[in-house]
Amino acid sequence: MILAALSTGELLLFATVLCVILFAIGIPIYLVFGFWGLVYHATSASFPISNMATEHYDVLQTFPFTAIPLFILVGDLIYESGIAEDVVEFTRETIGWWPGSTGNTAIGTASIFSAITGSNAATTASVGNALYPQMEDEGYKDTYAAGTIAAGGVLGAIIPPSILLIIYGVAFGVSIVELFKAGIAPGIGMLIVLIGINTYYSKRNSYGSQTSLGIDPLRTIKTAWKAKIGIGTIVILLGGIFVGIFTPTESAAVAVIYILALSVGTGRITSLEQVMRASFSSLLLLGVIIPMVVTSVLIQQSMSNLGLQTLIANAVIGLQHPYLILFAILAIIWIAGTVMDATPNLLLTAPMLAPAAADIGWGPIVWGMIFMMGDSVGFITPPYGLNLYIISGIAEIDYIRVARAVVPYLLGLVGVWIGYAVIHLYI
Amino acid sequence: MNTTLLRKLERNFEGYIGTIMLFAYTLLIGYTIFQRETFGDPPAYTLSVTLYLFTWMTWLAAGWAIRHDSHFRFTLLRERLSNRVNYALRYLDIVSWVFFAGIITVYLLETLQLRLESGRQILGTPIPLWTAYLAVAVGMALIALRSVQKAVLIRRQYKNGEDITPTSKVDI
Repeated sequence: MILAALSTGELLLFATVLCVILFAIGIPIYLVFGFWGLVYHATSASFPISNMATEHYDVLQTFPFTAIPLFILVGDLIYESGIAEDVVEFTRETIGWWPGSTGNTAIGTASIFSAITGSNAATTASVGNALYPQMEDEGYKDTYAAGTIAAGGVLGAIIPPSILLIIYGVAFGVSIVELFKAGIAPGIGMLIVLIGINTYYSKRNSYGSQTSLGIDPLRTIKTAWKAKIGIGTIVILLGGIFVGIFTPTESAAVAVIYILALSVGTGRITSLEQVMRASFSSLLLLGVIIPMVVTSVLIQQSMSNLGLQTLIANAVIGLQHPYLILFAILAIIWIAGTVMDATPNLLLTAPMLAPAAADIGWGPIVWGMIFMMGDSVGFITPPYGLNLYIISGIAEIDYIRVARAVVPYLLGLVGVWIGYAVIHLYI
Repeated sequence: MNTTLLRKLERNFEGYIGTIMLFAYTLLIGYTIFQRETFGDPPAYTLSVTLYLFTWMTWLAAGWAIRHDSHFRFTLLRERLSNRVNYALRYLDIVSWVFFAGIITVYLLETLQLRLESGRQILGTPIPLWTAYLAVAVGMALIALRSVQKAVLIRRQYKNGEDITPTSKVDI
Protein backbone atom coordinates (compact mmCIF):
# COMPACT_ATOMS: atom_id res chain seq x y z
CA MET A 1 0.00 0.00 0.00
CA ILE A 2 2.74 2.40 1.05
CA LEU A 3 4.77 1.47 -2.03
CA ALA A 4 1.80 2.20 -4.30
CA ALA A 5 1.64 5.74 -2.94
CA LEU A 6 5.26 6.45 -3.83
CA SER A 7 6.30 8.26 -7.01
CA THR A 8 8.71 6.53 -9.40
CA GLY A 9 11.61 8.60 -8.07
CA GLU A 10 10.79 7.75 -4.48
CA LEU A 11 10.35 4.12 -5.35
CA LEU A 12 13.78 4.01 -7.01
CA LEU A 13 15.34 5.75 -4.04
CA PHE A 14 13.71 3.20 -1.77
CA ALA A 15 15.01 0.39 -4.02
CA THR A 16 18.50 1.90 -3.92
CA VAL A 17 18.52 1.98 -0.11
CA LEU A 18 17.17 -1.55 0.02
CA CYS A 19 19.81 -2.79 -2.42
CA VAL A 20 22.59 -1.14 -0.40
CA ILE A 21 21.31 -3.03 2.65
CA LEU A 22 21.13 -6.28 0.66
CA PHE A 23 24.70 -5.71 -0.53
CA ALA A 24 25.93 -5.01 3.01
CA ILE A 25 24.37 -8.19 4.37
CA GLY A 26 26.09 -10.24 1.72
CA ILE A 27 23.45 -11.00 -0.91
CA PRO A 28 25.34 -11.87 -4.16
CA ILE A 29 26.14 -8.80 -6.28
CA TYR A 30 24.40 -10.26 -9.34
CA LEU A 31 21.14 -10.38 -7.38
CA VAL A 32 21.53 -6.97 -5.75
CA PHE A 33 21.91 -5.33 -9.16
CA GLY A 34 19.23 -7.58 -10.60
CA PHE A 35 16.70 -6.45 -7.98
CA TRP A 36 17.41 -2.78 -8.61
CA GLY A 37 17.06 -3.38 -12.33
CA LEU A 38 13.80 -5.22 -11.71
CA VAL A 39 12.30 -2.30 -9.77
CA TYR A 40 13.39 0.09 -12.50
CA HIS A 41 11.95 -2.07 -15.28
CA ALA A 42 8.70 -2.56 -13.36
CA THR A 43 8.23 1.21 -13.09
CA SER A 44 9.59 2.23 -16.49
CA ALA A 45 7.42 2.89 -19.50
CA SER A 46 10.29 2.44 -21.96
CA PHE A 47 11.86 -0.73 -20.56
CA PRO A 48 9.54 -3.72 -20.03
CA ILE A 49 10.64 -6.49 -17.66
CA SER A 50 11.00 -8.79 -20.67
CA ASN A 51 14.02 -6.62 -21.60
CA MET A 52 15.77 -7.94 -18.50
CA ALA A 53 15.17 -11.50 -19.62
CA THR A 54 16.37 -10.99 -23.19
CA GLU A 55 19.44 -9.05 -22.03
CA HIS A 56 20.52 -12.23 -20.24
CA TYR A 57 21.02 -13.58 -23.74
CA ASP A 58 21.85 -10.48 -25.80
CA VAL A 59 24.69 -9.16 -23.61
CA LEU A 60 26.57 -12.42 -24.14
CA GLN A 61 26.49 -12.19 -27.93
CA THR A 62 29.85 -10.38 -28.11
CA PHE A 63 32.78 -12.35 -29.47
CA PRO A 64 35.54 -10.75 -27.33
CA PHE A 65 33.77 -12.04 -24.21
CA THR A 66 34.52 -15.59 -25.34
CA ALA A 67 38.19 -14.89 -24.54
CA ILE A 68 37.44 -14.61 -20.83
CA PRO A 69 37.10 -18.31 -19.90
CA LEU A 70 40.09 -19.12 -22.11
CA PHE A 71 42.39 -16.62 -20.39
CA ILE A 72 41.33 -17.96 -17.01
CA LEU A 73 41.87 -21.51 -18.25
CA VAL A 74 45.40 -20.63 -19.39
CA GLY A 75 46.20 -19.47 -15.85
CA ASP A 76 44.64 -22.52 -14.24
CA LEU A 77 46.48 -24.90 -16.57
CA ILE A 78 49.75 -23.12 -15.80
CA TYR A 79 49.05 -23.72 -12.12
CA GLU A 80 47.90 -27.35 -12.48
CA SER A 81 50.83 -28.34 -14.68
CA GLY A 82 53.42 -26.97 -12.26
CA ILE A 83 54.64 -24.44 -14.81
CA ALA A 84 53.83 -21.79 -12.20
CA GLU A 85 56.65 -23.11 -10.02
CA ASP A 86 59.10 -22.77 -12.89
CA VAL A 87 57.95 -19.18 -13.44
CA VAL A 88 58.47 -18.46 -9.75
CA GLU A 89 62.00 -19.90 -9.93
CA PHE A 90 62.81 -17.83 -12.98
CA THR A 91 61.54 -14.65 -11.32
CA ARG A 92 63.52 -15.45 -8.17
CA GLU A 93 66.73 -15.80 -10.18
CA THR A 94 66.05 -12.59 -12.09
CA ILE A 95 65.00 -10.16 -9.37
CA GLY A 96 64.97 -12.24 -6.20
CA TRP A 97 68.54 -11.37 -5.20
CA TRP A 98 67.64 -7.81 -4.25
CA PRO A 99 66.81 -7.01 -0.63
CA GLY A 100 63.32 -8.36 0.00
CA SER A 101 64.01 -11.32 -2.26
CA THR A 102 60.84 -13.35 -1.94
CA GLY A 103 58.66 -10.24 -1.72
CA ASN A 104 60.09 -9.00 -5.01
CA THR A 105 59.76 -12.50 -6.43
CA ALA A 106 56.07 -12.43 -5.48
CA ILE A 107 55.54 -9.05 -7.16
CA GLY A 108 57.56 -10.07 -10.23
CA THR A 109 55.71 -13.38 -10.48
CA ALA A 110 52.41 -11.50 -10.18
CA SER A 111 53.38 -9.41 -13.20
CA ILE A 112 54.20 -12.53 -15.24
CA PHE A 113 51.00 -14.22 -14.10
CA SER A 114 49.08 -11.08 -15.01
CA ALA A 115 50.46 -11.39 -18.52
CA ILE A 116 49.17 -14.97 -18.60
CA THR A 117 45.83 -15.02 -16.80
CA GLY A 118 44.49 -11.50 -17.27
CA SER A 119 42.84 -11.71 -13.88
CA ASN A 120 43.75 -10.09 -10.58
CA ALA A 121 41.88 -12.76 -8.62
CA ALA A 122 43.69 -15.64 -10.34
CA THR A 123 47.04 -13.84 -9.99
CA THR A 124 46.59 -13.21 -6.26
CA ALA A 125 45.43 -16.76 -5.61
CA SER A 126 48.25 -18.38 -7.61
CA VAL A 127 51.05 -16.23 -6.20
CA GLY A 128 49.58 -16.47 -2.71
CA ASN A 129 49.47 -20.26 -2.78
CA ALA A 130 52.94 -20.48 -4.28
CA LEU A 131 54.84 -17.90 -2.22
CA TYR A 132 53.03 -16.95 0.99
CA PRO A 133 54.29 -19.97 3.00
CA GLN A 134 57.82 -19.29 1.79
CA MET A 135 57.66 -15.62 2.77
CA GLU A 136 56.51 -16.63 6.22
CA ASP A 137 59.41 -19.11 6.50
CA GLU A 138 61.85 -16.36 5.55
CA GLY A 139 60.75 -14.16 8.45
CA TYR A 140 58.39 -11.77 6.71
CA LYS A 141 55.67 -10.51 9.01
CA ASP A 142 52.50 -12.43 8.09
CA THR A 143 50.41 -9.34 7.33
CA TYR A 144 53.21 -7.73 5.31
CA ALA A 145 53.66 -10.87 3.21
CA ALA A 146 49.92 -11.08 2.57
CA GLY A 147 49.76 -7.35 1.74
CA THR A 148 52.64 -7.65 -0.72
CA ILE A 149 50.93 -10.48 -2.58
CA ALA A 150 47.57 -8.66 -2.62
CA ALA A 151 49.25 -5.54 -4.03
CA GLY A 152 51.05 -7.59 -6.70
CA GLY A 153 47.70 -9.04 -7.77
CA VAL A 154 46.52 -5.55 -8.75
CA LEU A 155 48.78 -5.79 -11.81
CA GLY A 156 46.42 -8.42 -13.26
CA ALA A 157 43.94 -5.72 -14.23
CA ILE A 158 46.45 -3.50 -16.02
CA ILE A 159 49.17 -5.64 -17.59
CA PRO A 160 47.80 -7.14 -20.82
CA PRO A 161 45.92 -9.34 -21.49
CA SER A 162 43.45 -8.09 -18.89
CA ILE A 163 39.91 -9.43 -18.69
CA LEU A 164 38.70 -6.06 -17.40
CA LEU A 165 40.21 -4.32 -20.41
CA ILE A 166 38.30 -6.75 -22.65
CA ILE A 167 35.05 -5.84 -20.88
CA TYR A 168 35.89 -2.12 -21.16
CA GLY A 169 36.70 -2.50 -24.86
CA VAL A 170 33.37 -4.22 -25.51
CA ALA A 171 31.39 -1.69 -23.44
CA PHE A 172 32.96 1.37 -25.08
CA GLY A 173 33.52 -0.03 -28.56
CA VAL A 174 37.28 0.54 -28.26
CA SER A 175 39.97 -1.65 -29.84
CA ILE A 176 40.99 -4.26 -27.25
CA VAL A 177 44.42 -4.58 -28.84
CA GLU A 178 45.02 -0.83 -28.46
CA LEU A 179 43.91 -1.06 -24.84
CA PHE A 180 46.33 -3.92 -24.26
CA LYS A 181 49.16 -1.88 -25.75
CA ALA A 182 48.23 1.12 -23.60
CA GLY A 183 48.34 -1.08 -20.48
CA ILE A 184 52.05 -1.88 -20.81
CA ALA A 185 53.51 1.46 -19.62
CA PRO A 186 51.30 1.98 -16.53
CA GLY A 187 51.64 -1.73 -15.72
CA ILE A 188 55.43 -1.46 -15.70
CA GLY A 189 55.20 1.80 -13.73
CA MET A 190 53.09 0.11 -11.06
CA LEU A 191 55.42 -2.88 -11.00
CA ILE A 192 58.49 -0.68 -10.43
CA VAL A 193 56.78 1.24 -7.62
CA LEU A 194 55.67 -1.97 -5.88
CA ILE A 195 59.19 -3.43 -6.08
CA GLY A 196 60.64 -0.15 -4.78
CA ILE A 197 58.29 -0.12 -1.79
CA ASN A 198 58.98 -3.76 -0.97
CA THR A 199 62.74 -3.28 -1.29
CA TYR A 200 62.61 -0.33 1.11
CA TYR A 201 60.50 -2.10 3.75
CA SER A 202 62.40 -5.35 3.45
CA LYS A 203 65.73 -3.61 3.91
CA ARG A 204 64.37 -1.69 6.90
CA ASN A 205 62.97 -4.82 8.55
CA SER A 206 65.64 -7.28 7.33
CA TYR A 207 63.11 -9.44 5.53
CA GLY A 208 64.62 -12.09 3.29
CA SER A 209 68.13 -11.02 4.31
CA GLN A 210 69.35 -14.60 4.15
CA THR A 211 69.38 -14.44 0.36
CA SER A 212 72.81 -14.09 -1.22
CA LEU A 213 73.16 -10.92 -3.23
CA GLY A 214 74.12 -10.90 -6.91
CA ILE A 215 72.80 -12.51 -10.06
CA ASP A 216 74.11 -15.81 -11.44
CA PRO A 217 73.74 -15.55 -15.24
CA LEU A 218 74.11 -19.29 -15.79
CA ARG A 219 71.40 -20.16 -13.29
CA THR A 220 69.16 -17.42 -14.71
CA ILE A 221 69.48 -18.93 -18.19
CA LYS A 222 68.83 -22.39 -16.78
CA THR A 223 65.67 -21.30 -14.96
CA ALA A 224 64.53 -19.34 -18.03
CA TRP A 225 64.87 -22.51 -20.08
CA LYS A 226 62.97 -24.48 -17.45
CA ALA A 227 60.20 -21.87 -17.51
CA LYS A 228 60.08 -21.92 -21.31
CA ILE A 229 56.47 -23.10 -21.51
CA GLY A 230 55.33 -20.23 -19.30
CA ILE A 231 57.43 -17.69 -21.19
CA GLY A 232 56.27 -19.18 -24.50
CA THR A 233 52.68 -18.70 -23.37
CA ILE A 234 53.26 -14.97 -22.91
CA VAL A 235 54.89 -14.79 -26.35
CA ILE A 236 51.85 -16.49 -27.91
CA LEU A 237 49.33 -14.41 -25.99
CA LEU A 238 50.87 -10.99 -26.35
CA GLY A 239 52.98 -11.56 -29.45
CA GLY A 240 50.05 -13.04 -31.35
CA ILE A 241 47.78 -10.15 -30.41
CA PHE A 242 50.24 -7.30 -30.88
CA VAL A 243 51.66 -8.54 -34.17
CA GLY A 244 48.08 -8.88 -35.39
CA ILE A 245 48.07 -12.60 -36.15
CA PHE A 246 45.36 -13.43 -33.61
CA THR A 247 42.40 -11.78 -31.96
CA PRO A 248 42.50 -11.96 -28.14
CA THR A 249 40.12 -14.95 -28.17
CA GLU A 250 42.22 -16.76 -30.77
CA SER A 251 45.47 -16.12 -28.93
CA ALA A 252 43.96 -17.50 -25.71
CA ALA A 253 42.68 -20.60 -27.54
CA VAL A 254 46.11 -21.19 -29.10
CA ALA A 255 47.74 -20.73 -25.69
CA VAL A 256 45.40 -23.35 -24.17
CA ILE A 257 46.24 -25.84 -26.93
CA TYR A 258 49.97 -25.03 -26.61
CA ILE A 259 50.08 -25.52 -22.83
CA LEU A 260 48.00 -28.69 -22.96
CA ALA A 261 50.09 -30.23 -25.73
CA LEU A 262 53.43 -29.42 -24.07
CA SER A 263 52.29 -30.25 -20.56
CA VAL A 264 50.94 -33.62 -21.59
CA GLY A 265 53.96 -34.21 -23.83
CA THR A 266 56.47 -33.44 -21.07
CA GLY A 267 54.57 -35.33 -18.39
CA ARG A 268 53.55 -32.26 -16.42
CA ILE A 269 49.92 -33.16 -16.82
CA THR A 270 49.43 -36.85 -16.25
CA SER A 271 45.77 -37.17 -15.39
CA LEU A 272 42.45 -36.00 -16.72
CA GLU A 273 41.67 -34.84 -13.21
CA GLN A 274 44.27 -32.04 -13.46
CA VAL A 275 42.66 -30.76 -16.65
CA MET A 276 39.20 -31.00 -15.09
CA ARG A 277 40.29 -29.02 -12.02
CA ALA A 278 41.64 -26.25 -14.24
CA SER A 279 38.53 -26.25 -16.38
CA PHE A 280 36.21 -26.25 -13.35
CA SER A 281 37.91 -23.20 -11.85
CA SER A 282 37.64 -21.34 -15.15
CA LEU A 283 33.98 -22.22 -15.59
CA LEU A 284 33.08 -21.22 -12.04
CA LEU A 285 34.69 -17.82 -12.49
CA LEU A 286 32.87 -17.45 -15.81
CA GLY A 287 29.56 -18.26 -14.11
CA VAL A 288 30.28 -15.56 -11.56
CA ILE A 289 31.62 -12.75 -13.78
CA ILE A 290 29.30 -12.78 -16.79
CA PRO A 291 25.97 -12.73 -14.86
CA MET A 292 27.34 -9.69 -12.99
CA VAL A 293 28.15 -8.09 -16.34
CA VAL A 294 24.54 -8.68 -17.45
CA THR A 295 22.88 -7.01 -14.45
CA SER A 296 25.48 -4.21 -14.48
CA VAL A 297 24.60 -3.50 -18.11
CA LEU A 298 20.91 -3.41 -17.13
CA ILE A 299 21.58 -0.85 -14.40
CA GLN A 300 23.77 1.17 -16.73
CA GLN A 301 20.93 1.29 -19.29
CA SER A 302 18.49 2.31 -16.56
CA MET A 303 20.74 5.06 -15.23
CA SER A 304 21.31 6.34 -18.74
CA ASN A 305 17.56 6.41 -19.40
CA LEU A 306 16.95 8.25 -16.15
CA GLY A 307 19.52 10.85 -17.15
CA LEU A 308 21.56 10.13 -14.02
CA GLN A 309 24.77 9.71 -15.96
CA THR A 310 24.37 13.07 -17.69
CA LEU A 311 23.49 14.68 -14.36
CA ILE A 312 26.64 13.42 -12.66
CA ALA A 313 28.84 14.12 -15.68
CA ASN A 314 27.51 17.70 -15.86
CA ALA A 315 28.09 18.19 -12.14
CA VAL A 316 31.72 17.14 -12.56
CA ILE A 317 32.22 19.24 -15.71
CA GLY A 318 30.67 22.15 -13.81
CA LEU A 319 33.82 22.29 -11.68
CA GLN A 320 35.38 23.92 -14.78
CA HIS A 321 39.07 23.78 -13.80
CA PRO A 322 40.83 20.74 -15.36
CA TYR A 323 42.57 19.82 -12.11
CA LEU A 324 39.32 20.00 -10.12
CA ILE A 325 37.60 17.84 -12.71
CA LEU A 326 40.54 15.42 -12.71
CA PHE A 327 40.54 14.99 -8.93
CA ALA A 328 36.73 14.74 -8.80
CA ILE A 329 36.90 11.96 -11.41
CA LEU A 330 39.65 10.10 -9.57
CA ALA A 331 37.85 10.45 -6.24
CA ILE A 332 34.60 9.05 -7.65
CA ILE A 333 36.42 6.12 -9.28
CA TRP A 334 38.26 5.30 -6.08
CA ILE A 335 35.22 5.58 -3.81
CA ALA A 336 33.09 3.50 -6.20
CA GLY A 337 35.89 0.92 -6.40
CA THR A 338 36.01 0.53 -2.64
CA VAL A 339 32.38 -0.57 -2.42
CA MET A 340 31.83 -2.32 -5.74
CA ASP A 341 33.41 -5.20 -7.57
CA ALA A 342 35.63 -4.10 -10.46
CA THR A 343 33.34 -5.37 -13.23
CA PRO A 344 30.13 -3.59 -12.17
CA ASN A 345 32.14 -0.51 -11.25
CA LEU A 346 33.61 -0.46 -14.73
CA LEU A 347 30.21 -0.82 -16.41
CA LEU A 348 28.41 1.69 -14.19
CA THR A 349 30.91 4.39 -13.31
CA ALA A 350 33.07 4.56 -16.46
CA PRO A 351 30.21 5.62 -18.81
CA MET A 352 28.97 8.06 -16.18
CA LEU A 353 32.28 9.90 -16.02
CA ALA A 354 33.26 9.50 -19.69
CA PRO A 355 31.85 12.92 -20.76
CA ALA A 356 33.84 14.63 -17.99
CA ALA A 357 36.97 12.71 -19.03
CA ALA A 358 36.44 13.79 -22.65
CA ASP A 359 35.98 17.37 -21.45
CA ILE A 360 39.53 17.48 -20.08
CA GLY A 361 40.91 15.90 -23.22
CA TRP A 362 41.22 12.20 -22.39
CA GLY A 363 40.42 9.95 -25.33
CA PRO A 364 38.69 6.59 -24.82
CA ILE A 365 41.97 4.61 -24.61
CA VAL A 366 43.58 6.93 -22.05
CA TRP A 367 40.29 7.12 -20.17
CA GLY A 368 40.15 3.33 -20.14
CA MET A 369 43.60 3.12 -18.60
CA ILE A 370 42.94 5.84 -16.01
CA PHE A 371 39.68 4.22 -15.05
CA MET A 372 41.18 0.75 -14.86
CA MET A 373 44.11 1.88 -12.73
CA GLY A 374 41.67 3.42 -10.26
CA ASP A 375 39.37 0.44 -10.44
CA SER A 376 42.30 -1.88 -9.73
CA VAL A 377 43.35 0.16 -6.68
CA GLY A 378 39.92 -0.82 -5.35
CA PHE A 379 41.16 -4.43 -5.21
CA ILE A 380 43.23 -3.54 -2.16
CA THR A 381 40.97 -0.89 -0.62
CA PRO A 382 38.46 -1.88 2.07
CA PRO A 383 35.64 -2.56 2.46
CA TYR A 384 35.29 -4.48 -0.82
CA GLY A 385 38.96 -5.10 -1.77
CA LEU A 386 38.75 -8.49 -3.53
CA ASN A 387 42.49 -9.23 -3.39
CA LEU A 388 42.46 -8.66 0.36
CA TYR A 389 39.66 -11.22 0.70
CA ILE A 390 41.52 -13.77 -1.38
CA ILE A 391 44.84 -13.47 0.41
CA SER A 392 43.30 -13.26 3.88
CA GLY A 393 41.60 -16.58 3.05
CA ILE A 394 44.88 -18.18 1.91
CA ALA A 395 46.98 -16.78 4.77
CA GLU A 396 44.18 -17.18 7.35
CA ILE A 397 44.73 -13.64 8.60
CA ASP A 398 42.00 -11.19 9.53
CA TYR A 399 40.99 -9.09 6.52
CA ILE A 400 41.39 -5.76 8.35
CA ARG A 401 44.96 -6.59 9.43
CA VAL A 402 45.94 -7.26 5.82
CA ALA A 403 44.15 -4.05 4.76
CA ARG A 404 46.34 -2.07 7.18
CA ALA A 405 49.54 -3.73 5.97
CA VAL A 406 48.79 -2.94 2.34
CA VAL A 407 48.58 0.85 2.92
CA PRO A 408 52.16 1.72 1.72
CA TYR A 409 51.53 -0.16 -1.54
CA LEU A 410 48.14 1.46 -1.88
CA LEU A 411 49.65 4.93 -1.58
CA GLY A 412 52.37 4.04 -4.09
CA LEU A 413 49.82 2.78 -6.62
CA VAL A 414 47.62 5.83 -6.13
CA GLY A 415 50.71 7.96 -6.77
CA VAL A 416 51.35 6.21 -10.11
CA TRP A 417 47.68 6.54 -10.98
CA ILE A 418 47.51 10.28 -10.26
CA GLY A 419 50.82 10.80 -12.07
CA TYR A 420 49.53 8.98 -15.16
CA ALA A 421 46.30 11.01 -15.11
CA VAL A 422 48.09 14.36 -14.68
CA ILE A 423 50.62 13.58 -17.45
CA HIS A 424 47.73 12.90 -19.80
CA LEU A 425 46.30 16.33 -19.16
CA TYR A 426 49.26 17.64 -21.11
CA ILE A 427 49.75 14.94 -23.75
CA MET B 1 26.41 -46.54 -10.49
CA ASN B 2 28.49 -46.38 -7.35
CA THR B 3 28.07 -43.62 -4.77
CA THR B 4 31.40 -41.92 -5.51
CA LEU B 5 30.43 -41.40 -9.13
CA LEU B 6 26.98 -40.15 -8.14
CA ARG B 7 28.51 -37.76 -5.63
CA LYS B 8 30.89 -36.42 -8.29
CA LEU B 9 28.00 -35.92 -10.70
CA GLU B 10 25.93 -34.18 -8.04
CA ARG B 11 28.77 -31.79 -7.20
CA ASN B 12 29.98 -31.06 -10.70
CA PHE B 13 27.42 -32.11 -13.32
CA GLU B 14 27.36 -28.69 -15.00
CA GLY B 15 31.17 -28.59 -14.77
CA TYR B 16 31.52 -31.77 -16.83
CA ILE B 17 29.19 -30.51 -19.55
CA GLY B 18 30.81 -27.07 -19.45
CA THR B 19 34.26 -28.61 -19.81
CA ILE B 20 33.22 -30.45 -22.97
CA MET B 21 31.86 -27.19 -24.37
CA LEU B 22 34.94 -25.20 -23.33
CA PHE B 23 37.35 -27.57 -25.06
CA ALA B 24 35.03 -27.92 -28.05
CA TYR B 25 35.13 -24.21 -28.65
CA THR B 26 38.86 -24.03 -28.00
CA LEU B 27 39.40 -26.66 -30.69
CA LEU B 28 36.89 -24.96 -32.98
CA ILE B 29 38.81 -21.68 -32.74
CA GLY B 30 42.07 -23.58 -33.31
CA TYR B 31 40.58 -25.26 -36.38
CA THR B 32 39.38 -21.90 -37.71
CA ILE B 33 42.86 -20.38 -37.38
CA PHE B 34 44.33 -23.42 -39.15
CA GLN B 35 41.82 -23.14 -42.01
CA ARG B 36 42.39 -19.40 -42.32
CA GLU B 37 46.18 -19.52 -42.25
CA THR B 38 46.48 -22.62 -44.45
CA PHE B 39 43.67 -22.28 -46.98
CA GLY B 40 42.58 -18.69 -46.41
CA ASP B 41 39.07 -20.03 -45.98
CA PRO B 42 37.84 -20.05 -42.36
CA PRO B 43 34.47 -21.72 -41.73
CA ALA B 44 31.58 -19.24 -41.51
CA TYR B 45 29.90 -20.89 -38.53
CA THR B 46 32.78 -20.46 -36.03
CA LEU B 47 31.65 -17.17 -34.57
CA SER B 48 28.04 -18.18 -34.07
CA VAL B 49 28.82 -21.64 -32.68
CA THR B 50 31.42 -20.21 -30.30
CA LEU B 51 28.90 -17.70 -28.98
CA TYR B 52 26.29 -20.43 -28.73
CA LEU B 53 28.58 -22.62 -26.60
CA PHE B 54 29.70 -19.60 -24.56
CA THR B 55 26.08 -18.75 -23.73
CA TRP B 56 25.35 -22.30 -22.59
CA MET B 57 28.56 -22.51 -20.57
CA THR B 58 27.87 -19.24 -18.79
CA TRP B 59 24.35 -20.07 -17.65
CA LEU B 60 25.20 -23.65 -16.71
CA ALA B 61 28.08 -22.30 -14.61
CA ALA B 62 25.94 -19.61 -12.97
CA GLY B 63 23.76 -22.23 -11.30
CA TRP B 64 26.70 -24.47 -10.54
CA ALA B 65 28.46 -21.57 -8.78
CA ILE B 66 25.63 -21.53 -6.22
CA ARG B 67 26.43 -25.13 -5.30
CA HIS B 68 30.03 -24.10 -4.62
CA ASP B 69 29.25 -20.76 -2.96
CA SER B 70 31.25 -18.91 -5.59
CA HIS B 71 29.11 -15.88 -6.47
CA PHE B 72 30.84 -12.64 -5.51
CA ARG B 73 29.37 -10.89 -2.54
CA PHE B 74 30.40 -8.61 0.29
CA THR B 75 31.26 -10.99 3.13
CA LEU B 76 32.96 -8.70 5.64
CA LEU B 77 29.81 -8.25 7.70
CA ARG B 78 28.68 -11.86 7.30
CA GLU B 79 31.97 -13.12 8.71
CA ARG B 80 31.26 -11.22 11.90
CA LEU B 81 27.72 -12.51 12.37
CA SER B 82 26.74 -15.54 14.41
CA ASN B 83 26.00 -18.84 12.72
CA ARG B 84 22.35 -18.40 13.68
CA VAL B 85 22.01 -15.04 11.89
CA ASN B 86 23.97 -16.42 8.94
CA TYR B 87 21.53 -19.31 8.79
CA ALA B 88 18.62 -16.88 8.44
CA LEU B 89 20.51 -14.84 5.84
CA ARG B 90 21.35 -17.99 3.91
CA TYR B 91 17.63 -18.54 3.51
CA LEU B 92 17.24 -14.96 2.33
CA ASP B 93 19.94 -15.72 -0.28
CA ILE B 94 18.06 -18.76 -1.43
CA VAL B 95 14.65 -17.09 -1.61
CA SER B 96 16.28 -14.24 -3.57
CA TRP B 97 17.84 -16.64 -6.08
CA VAL B 98 14.62 -18.57 -6.65
CA PHE B 99 12.54 -15.39 -6.94
CA PHE B 100 14.90 -13.71 -9.41
CA ALA B 101 15.41 -16.84 -11.52
CA GLY B 102 11.63 -17.31 -11.61
CA ILE B 103 11.02 -13.76 -12.85
CA ILE B 104 13.63 -14.04 -15.60
CA THR B 105 12.29 -17.41 -16.74
CA VAL B 106 8.67 -16.24 -16.88
CA TYR B 107 9.54 -13.19 -18.96
CA LEU B 108 11.88 -15.15 -21.19
CA LEU B 109 9.22 -17.65 -22.19
CA GLU B 110 7.54 -15.17 -24.53
CA THR B 111 10.81 -14.55 -26.40
CA LEU B 112 11.50 -18.26 -26.47
CA GLN B 113 8.08 -18.86 -28.00
CA LEU B 114 8.70 -16.20 -30.67
CA ARG B 115 12.07 -17.71 -31.58
CA LEU B 116 10.52 -21.17 -31.73
CA GLU B 117 7.81 -19.96 -34.09
CA SER B 118 10.26 -18.04 -36.29
CA GLY B 119 12.07 -21.25 -37.20
CA ARG B 120 15.34 -19.31 -37.51
CA GLN B 121 18.67 -21.07 -37.24
CA ILE B 122 22.08 -20.21 -35.82
CA LEU B 123 24.09 -18.67 -38.68
CA GLY B 124 25.81 -21.30 -40.79
CA THR B 125 24.34 -24.25 -38.89
CA PRO B 126 21.12 -26.27 -38.74
CA ILE B 127 20.86 -25.52 -34.97
CA PRO B 128 17.54 -23.78 -34.16
CA LEU B 129 18.02 -20.30 -32.67
CA TRP B 130 15.54 -20.95 -29.87
CA THR B 131 17.94 -23.46 -28.34
CA ALA B 132 20.39 -20.61 -27.70
CA TYR B 133 17.72 -18.70 -25.75
CA LEU B 134 16.89 -21.95 -24.01
CA ALA B 135 20.35 -21.74 -22.38
CA VAL B 136 19.13 -18.84 -20.23
CA ALA B 137 15.94 -20.65 -19.23
CA VAL B 138 17.83 -23.84 -18.38
CA GLY B 139 20.40 -21.77 -16.48
CA MET B 140 17.67 -20.10 -14.44
CA ALA B 141 16.02 -23.47 -13.74
CA LEU B 142 19.39 -24.77 -12.54
CA ILE B 143 19.86 -21.67 -10.39
CA ALA B 144 16.52 -22.41 -8.70
CA LEU B 145 17.32 -26.11 -8.38
CA ARG B 146 20.82 -25.58 -6.99
CA SER B 147 19.42 -22.99 -4.55
CA VAL B 148 16.88 -25.45 -3.17
CA GLN B 149 19.62 -28.07 -2.90
CA LYS B 150 21.81 -25.52 -1.12
CA ALA B 151 19.01 -24.91 1.38
CA VAL B 152 19.00 -28.60 2.25
CA LEU B 153 22.81 -28.72 2.53
CA ILE B 154 22.96 -25.62 4.70
CA ARG B 155 20.25 -26.94 6.99
CA ARG B 156 22.27 -30.14 7.43
CA GLN B 157 25.51 -28.21 8.06
CA TYR B 158 23.78 -25.92 10.55
CA LYS B 159 22.30 -28.85 12.45
CA ASN B 160 25.79 -30.40 12.63
CA GLY B 161 27.17 -27.16 14.07
CA GLU B 162 29.36 -26.45 11.03
CA ASP B 163 30.31 -22.92 9.94
CA ILE B 164 27.91 -21.77 7.19
CA THR B 165 29.37 -18.33 6.45
CA PRO B 166 29.47 -17.80 2.66
CA THR B 167 32.93 -17.58 1.12
CA SER B 168 32.85 -16.47 -2.57
CA LYS B 169 35.66 -18.91 -3.40
CA VAL B 170 36.12 -20.01 -6.98
CA ASP B 171 38.09 -23.17 -6.38
CA ILE B 172 36.72 -26.65 -5.88
